Amino acid sequence: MDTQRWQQVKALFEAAVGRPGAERAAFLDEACGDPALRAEVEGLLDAHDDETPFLDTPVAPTVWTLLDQPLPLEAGTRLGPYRLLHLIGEGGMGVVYLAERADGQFERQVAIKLVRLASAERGLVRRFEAERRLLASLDHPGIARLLDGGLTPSFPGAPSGLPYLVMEVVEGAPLTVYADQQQLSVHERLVLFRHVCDAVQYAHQNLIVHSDLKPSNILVTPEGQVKLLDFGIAKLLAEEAASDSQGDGTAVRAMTPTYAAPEQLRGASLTTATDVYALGLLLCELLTGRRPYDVQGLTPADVERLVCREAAPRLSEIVAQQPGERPSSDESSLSDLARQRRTTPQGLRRSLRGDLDAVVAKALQKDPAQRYAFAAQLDDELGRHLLRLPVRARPATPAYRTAAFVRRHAVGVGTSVLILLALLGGIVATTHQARIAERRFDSLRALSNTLLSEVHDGIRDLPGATPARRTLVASALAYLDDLYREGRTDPALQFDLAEAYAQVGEVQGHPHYTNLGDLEGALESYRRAFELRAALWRRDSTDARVRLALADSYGHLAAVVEWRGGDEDVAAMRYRALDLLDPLVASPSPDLDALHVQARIQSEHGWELVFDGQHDEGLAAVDAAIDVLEGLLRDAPADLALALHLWRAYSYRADGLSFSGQSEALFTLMDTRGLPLLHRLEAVHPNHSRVQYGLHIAYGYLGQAQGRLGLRDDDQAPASIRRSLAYADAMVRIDPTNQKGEEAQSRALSALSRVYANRGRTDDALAALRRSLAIAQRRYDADPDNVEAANRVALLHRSMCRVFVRADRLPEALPSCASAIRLQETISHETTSLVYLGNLGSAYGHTARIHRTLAERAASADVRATHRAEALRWYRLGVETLRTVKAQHGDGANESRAWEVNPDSLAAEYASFQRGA
Amino acid sequence: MPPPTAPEVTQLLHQWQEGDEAALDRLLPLVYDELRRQAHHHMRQERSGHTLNTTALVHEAFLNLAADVPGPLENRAHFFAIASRVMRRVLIWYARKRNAAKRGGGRPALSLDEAMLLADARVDDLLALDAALERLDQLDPRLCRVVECRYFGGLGVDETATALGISPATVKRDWQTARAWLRRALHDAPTVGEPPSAEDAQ
Repeated sequence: MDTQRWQQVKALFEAAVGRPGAERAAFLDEACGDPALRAEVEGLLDAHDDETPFLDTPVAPTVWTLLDQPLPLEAGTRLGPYRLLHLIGEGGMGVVYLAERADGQFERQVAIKLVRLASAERGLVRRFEAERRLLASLDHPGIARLLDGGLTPSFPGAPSGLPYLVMEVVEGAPLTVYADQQQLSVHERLVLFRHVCDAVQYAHQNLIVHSDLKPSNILVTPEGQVKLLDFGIAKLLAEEAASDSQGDGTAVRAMTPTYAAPEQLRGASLTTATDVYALGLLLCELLTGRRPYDVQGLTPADVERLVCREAAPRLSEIVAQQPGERPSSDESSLSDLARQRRTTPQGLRRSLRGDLDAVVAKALQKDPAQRYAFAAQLDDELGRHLLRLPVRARPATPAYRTAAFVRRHAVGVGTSVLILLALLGGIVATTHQARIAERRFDSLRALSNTLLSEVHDGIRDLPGATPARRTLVASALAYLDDLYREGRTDPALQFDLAEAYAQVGEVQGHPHYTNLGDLEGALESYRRAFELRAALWRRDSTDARVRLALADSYGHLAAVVEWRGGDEDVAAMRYRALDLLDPLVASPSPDLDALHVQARIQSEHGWELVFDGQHDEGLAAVDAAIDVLEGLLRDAPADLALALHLWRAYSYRADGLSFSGQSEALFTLMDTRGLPLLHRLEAVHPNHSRVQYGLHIAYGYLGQAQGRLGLRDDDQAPASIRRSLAYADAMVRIDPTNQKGEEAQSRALSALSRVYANRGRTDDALAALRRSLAIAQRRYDADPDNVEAANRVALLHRSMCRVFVRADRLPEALPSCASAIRLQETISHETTSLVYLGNLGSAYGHTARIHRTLAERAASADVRATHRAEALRWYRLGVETLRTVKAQHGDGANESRAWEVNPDSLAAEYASFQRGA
Repeated sequence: MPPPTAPEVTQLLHQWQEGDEAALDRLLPLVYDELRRQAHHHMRQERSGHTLNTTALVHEAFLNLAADVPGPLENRAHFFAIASRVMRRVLIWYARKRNAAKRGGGRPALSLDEAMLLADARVDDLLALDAALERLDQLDPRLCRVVECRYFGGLGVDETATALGISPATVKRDWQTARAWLRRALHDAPTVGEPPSAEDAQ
């Protein structure tokens, strides 16, 4: 029916409908000439006269109920590759479902957050997508991973679909709940909180602001890992809402008013300092069990007035309140609070008063510019407090500095960076004066005793101190070289000069300590120290100090040479050192320093033996050193250097156990001795690079042992190795200039690739290996003479090769094998170590086996012949190389594993393959 | 395209009133979400004994979307018409989803609450009604608007009149005509319009 005709029908219907029956018929007779038109109108009239209910009750209430349904999507719905299982939460920002991969590719469950955008227009959705990609780049153990995202099917009100985010499922308790459940002390709470700061800082470095930090967004897993949820999402929504139609007040809706910063309540722009404010509130709640502002039941205007105008009470004031003063009865009483922190109310007040009062007050400043700008600065302050260094938040009065200094020395922790800077200035000035004036012994003593030993030791393992250390080393070397060239012969001067060179060498590149990665420079400095000490020893071989110093020099030289590779006989140097030390440790009251040095060198020697095939003898030497070091540490539990040497000896033993496949013993060593020692150190020295490095190694070994002992689908091994990687990542993050961090990452990634490969996750394994290879290659390129670096690259190529073989992707394995062999041939030419030669022989053998299999599978005769020829060539090389290794190895060679491929079985394979030709 | 600001919301209302359907497309998502919020808020209150007042809900939604913008009162009225249209879309969307699930023969696609609200028989009726309304919209848009306001939006005669800028007498006449037309159009589905359940009847 066209519109014109309808208007006619409608007019007639409206005119007729009010008339009674007979009148209506008469009207129609008169008005409708056209019978078809009349039929239309009568049809409508009949319909109108029908008295059965029709559209009588509005359907609006149903619609309102439907509008309130939380679920636009229900169980079973597929979003991309995921299938929704059930709803696990609903909040202001949207709804969260538990979901699983619908394609069964991964077992893992995920959380899917359906974001409720006020306006899901195309442009906004695009912007959201861009932000999502940014958030997905956040890769930190303390931040729940954003895995994926996309758009739902279209939806009323969202013609383009609603954006959803796929996130890691985190099981854990909110930060504050966890801390109370575990009854963490104030100290432990601070250590835990620093992990939160660390995760937030990682995002800040990536210019991402959380803007909705609150206990329910910060979970702690049963393993104690902090996990931040919903990074950046609140800000995304707040911005979207703020640019939306409703002006102020809207931005507030997206976040939780209880934890809102003044600028959030005012609708001003959000920055990293906004997160710092929230961290301040959290820290207050974590430490005191209460929030500084009680906004429950207040109107928005009152909340704004309170938060924006009134200064927060100090922490120590919050816990000073008598229980009776608090109106609400469900508030924990002060003594309960203290008990949950394993202290008394007085103890709690005392630990909060002063530093922590000041730090939280600075984080809670109304003006964002007056707060710490980034989470890192807050983190740093807490670190300073834990190390008993002066915090920056407190006014730097002489009295306060002195108090901090006294507290510090009371527990014997390192030296203030402030004092370092003062001394460094002093030394540089001294150097200038020294050049124009008569040099005095005193300044050298100051250099070696104060600057290098005390100051440098103080900052050595502080995060990010590398540039300061470089400056220190450069000034010190310039000064020492001048003195050395002068060739003065006073014994006391020479002794001090040697000591100073040794200190500088350690900073430059002692492989066992946090170093600047300058192995050549280190070797040069250690040689200077050694020459000076050897000269002193020739002059007077009765001086015990010289004896100890000379032994120490041999030990350090051996360590650097071993690391760098070279012709010097490392074992001979160590025997010489141990001979020198014998008289000092054999006496009834042995020199403790000598015992310490002896144990250190003995453990290093044992390690070398293990890797030269004398496994049992090596392990016995390491065990003897462990006994000595454990004994020394019992008498001096706070001696960090000693504890770290003990850990080093544990790690040598672990190397040997791992090498000989003694997984049970390896697991026990890490679980009962290594990890407890390191975690004890970590509690006192969070962010200490060597402790973190140790934890990285320890978890790596724990994971390795678990992987070898456990079941294939057991998640213990990957979990441990991910912890190992997390510590490596933390090292790089804390100090990107520390060489060991990247090395650690590379190692953990390789281990991770192995456990993935064992679980058949080939692509994950390869991805981890490629990341690891890139790091190792960069290090090798920077130092092409470094044998260890070259070996690492070679081993990674071998690992790639193995993963390909395992996944039966043989043709892809060959290029990796070839790269490994090229490098291993170079290394074997440059070193005499049998381990490298054994690796090379094994690589030949593996290549031969790949070609043999490819020959067996070849479809054409040509291809078969090519692979056969290759296989024969590599078999021959492999058998010859491994026989050489075996011949040099002597007895017991088959028990030790200097090779992965047994020479005899390779020879047998070769023979049978030749016969088959 | 940036999201509309409050003045733009009223501008869009004007444009729509003047026949610009593109303006409506930009408004609908905003209105939808606001209605959702109101519904959520309302349902919380209902549990503490409040009764549903659709006019109040839509009014609240309008204030949230276009508050503090000086403008003629008719904006608010127009908003009611749009809200009614959104409500029609929501209901039909759920009905389609339900229908699709039924055809697919799979697990129940709606949650229990939804299933109770939308019995299978009603779903077919609603979809038929929606299709008929589409045809009516082509033929006589104003009649369609009146049905949206009264049936889907739950507005009274006077509110509908204000929302559509016509007299109450016209609303009554249009409603009568539209009902007759729809009943005839849905001849094969005479049960359309049964209350969904006793609880929902006001």
